Amino acid sequence: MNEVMKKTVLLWESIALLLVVVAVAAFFLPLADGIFMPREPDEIVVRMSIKESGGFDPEVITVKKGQTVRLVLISMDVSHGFTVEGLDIDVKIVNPEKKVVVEFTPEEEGVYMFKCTVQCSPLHHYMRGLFIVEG
Amino acid sequence: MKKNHLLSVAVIVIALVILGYALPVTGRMSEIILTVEEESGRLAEADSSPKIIEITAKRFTFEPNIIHVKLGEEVIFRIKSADVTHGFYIDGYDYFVTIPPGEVVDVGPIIFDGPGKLKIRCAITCGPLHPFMVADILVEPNYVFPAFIFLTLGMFGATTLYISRGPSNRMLGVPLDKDVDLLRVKIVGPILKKILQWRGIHFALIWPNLLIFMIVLTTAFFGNPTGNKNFSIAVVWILWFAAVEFMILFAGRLWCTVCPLPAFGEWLARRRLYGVHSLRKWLSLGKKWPKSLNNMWIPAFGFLGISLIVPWLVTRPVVTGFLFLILIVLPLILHPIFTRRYFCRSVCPAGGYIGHHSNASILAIRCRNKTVCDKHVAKECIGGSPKGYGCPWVLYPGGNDQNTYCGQCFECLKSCPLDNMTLKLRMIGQDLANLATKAKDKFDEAWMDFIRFTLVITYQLVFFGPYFWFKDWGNMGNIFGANLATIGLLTPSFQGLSNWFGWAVIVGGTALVGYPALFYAFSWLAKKTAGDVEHAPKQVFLSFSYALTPYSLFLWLAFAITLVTVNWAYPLTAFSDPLGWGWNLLGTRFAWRPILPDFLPYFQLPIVLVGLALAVNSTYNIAVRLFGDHAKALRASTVMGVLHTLAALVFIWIISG
Repeated sequence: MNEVMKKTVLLWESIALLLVVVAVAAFFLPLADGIFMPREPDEIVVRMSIKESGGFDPEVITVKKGQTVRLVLISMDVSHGFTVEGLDIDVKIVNPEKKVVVEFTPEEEGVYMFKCTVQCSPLHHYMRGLFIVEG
Repeated sequence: MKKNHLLSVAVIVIALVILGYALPVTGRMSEIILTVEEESGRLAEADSSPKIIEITAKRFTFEPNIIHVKLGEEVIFRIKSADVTHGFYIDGYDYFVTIPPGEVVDVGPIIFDGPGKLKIRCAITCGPLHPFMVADILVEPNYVFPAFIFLTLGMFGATTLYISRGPSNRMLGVPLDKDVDLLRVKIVGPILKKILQWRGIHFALIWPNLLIFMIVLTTAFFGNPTGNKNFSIAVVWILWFAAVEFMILFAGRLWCTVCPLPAFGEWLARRRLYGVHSLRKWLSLGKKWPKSLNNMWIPAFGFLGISLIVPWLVTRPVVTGFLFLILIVLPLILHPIFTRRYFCRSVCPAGGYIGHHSNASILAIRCRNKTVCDKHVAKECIGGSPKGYGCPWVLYPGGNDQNTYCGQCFECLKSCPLDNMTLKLRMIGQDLANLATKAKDKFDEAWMDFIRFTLVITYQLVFFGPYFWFKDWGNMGNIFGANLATIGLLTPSFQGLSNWFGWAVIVGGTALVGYPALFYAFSWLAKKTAGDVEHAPKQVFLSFSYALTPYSLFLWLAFAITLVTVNWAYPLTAFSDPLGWGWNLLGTRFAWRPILPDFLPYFQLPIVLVGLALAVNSTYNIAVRLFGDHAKALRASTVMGVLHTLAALVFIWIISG
């Protein structure tokens, strides 16, 4: 085998190896959530699963008084509801087929509780979280 | 003369098909007239209130699970949910209704104006088994079922009539001794040859699948625990599973060409990703593969074993994840010990059935001229050359006359210096008769057929049948989806476990004992009826089992059609949102909406009937080769045809009765 041929072999094998590394790197896809699920500064994505597989994500939502926020509600498994007690947020049903976006401007400081309002699993009543309005 | 009888058979078949399809349609028309009469009568009675049918939706069924309505009847469905939010959809009617718990929702009034079997399907994701939450609506009188029975019997009759004319070495009129040398076809041939002889083709085909495989693995462990929202489930068990069946028919073991599972092991052993190492020695211990394993037993039992947990496998990402982890680690271990593709030959459950069914494929890699191969001393197709490796599947490509163990890796096309290897296009079942008569002790291949054949009927029943207890037993009564973090939710209850045991006995018993016993009885009867005394019953039994190869392939195609036309939206959405986290990478998010679900039985029936015809004709071809006598063969294949027709009727009953 002459030098030129050796170099071509090396080149092709290296390209192939690089491609394999790229493919294997796809295993780390879950780490790219921030890139592929872009969030606007005033946007909060709330993913909802039955309590058994995690409940609300995030479980604590912090917003600033007087600033409008957009809550993007996504159901991961079955239909859920989203109600913040004491505030004017009451989404009757969020089906897994479609996300629901709610706009809200908090007026008063305080700590509120939000919960799921649609029977979703044996631990449905434990599916809740904290909604904090800071000054 | 020959053309004449072919024509007459064709006319009979076409007439039967038209008659069979016309029956339900005329039924529908006469019913419309009837409805009009009834309508006027009803108005006179002033009792036009629609019938109310109460339905309770619960994970993962509707109660009642079989609903009878009359043709032309006006019906309101009053639905409530017993647990979580469900959806309500009826095949052919544009209702996508949400049923939240605690509410009673009326759907309708609906007038059922066509006879036959429709399905109620859940339209809102309600848990892991959501895609299989179905119930049957039977619109009666159900003209479709008798029409389908009539057609099935007609197909059996027509095929028997056809083989009674003694077609020699033909399959449904197409000669079996002719084939097309694909690499010598004008224009296409040379291009295809160039592509297949390019060293990089194998890597180029594997790479995209490796990428998809890595996404499958990661989404299975870390993605959304709900199956239909997870890439691993949606892409593997809807798209891949269905696509493979079509691939087998049109392209043989093409999947094995592009499969990424054994790639790491092979690359490692070759020390090359795409080229041929100048030493052409495998980095391997080169141990001999045990002879007792050089068959299809592990794949056959592997496929059965997987099928016993299939309600979990195709709905819980983490179960799929572990299966694939095993399937990628195994070849990585086996390759350095035994060299070559023993994992694919004798371990991989998919490799097993793909290989066996590929004997019914229209594509094959064969040599052009056998004497050229036999006289050629160097035999680079075994030993390899700088252009290509010796057959990684441990075959002598020049002498190969079956698709079972040819993985279509195209190495022999590259290594052959005499340009004697090619791709051939041929009629379904070219190799079957030859294979069947040689099968002296190949119980493994026979049982592979029995398992695959029984399981396709089981799959159709468990996934798209109304019988909830059957699904629930297989599912161990579990209501949770699971990824790696929530795998604990799959801990089965004692009740669930004991139910599953019952399911395993039913499914495994039918596949391993019940159906083979029936098959044996029929083959014994066939032998007696044929008046054969030369062959052992065992030989006849094993030989005739090869007729199941094209038959079950076609039944799987019929199943695959249901899988894809109903659930196509899930895999497409999964490409945009692999983890089920709400991403939209490619803009392919689609709402679930089945394609023409009310016509599904009409699409499935012809496929089943072609399968039946192939089975009867294959049996005849096998019997002619075995008994060497037309009259004996005809009698034997008529007896076997009765069994095959019965099986078709069971399938027909599931889809339309």
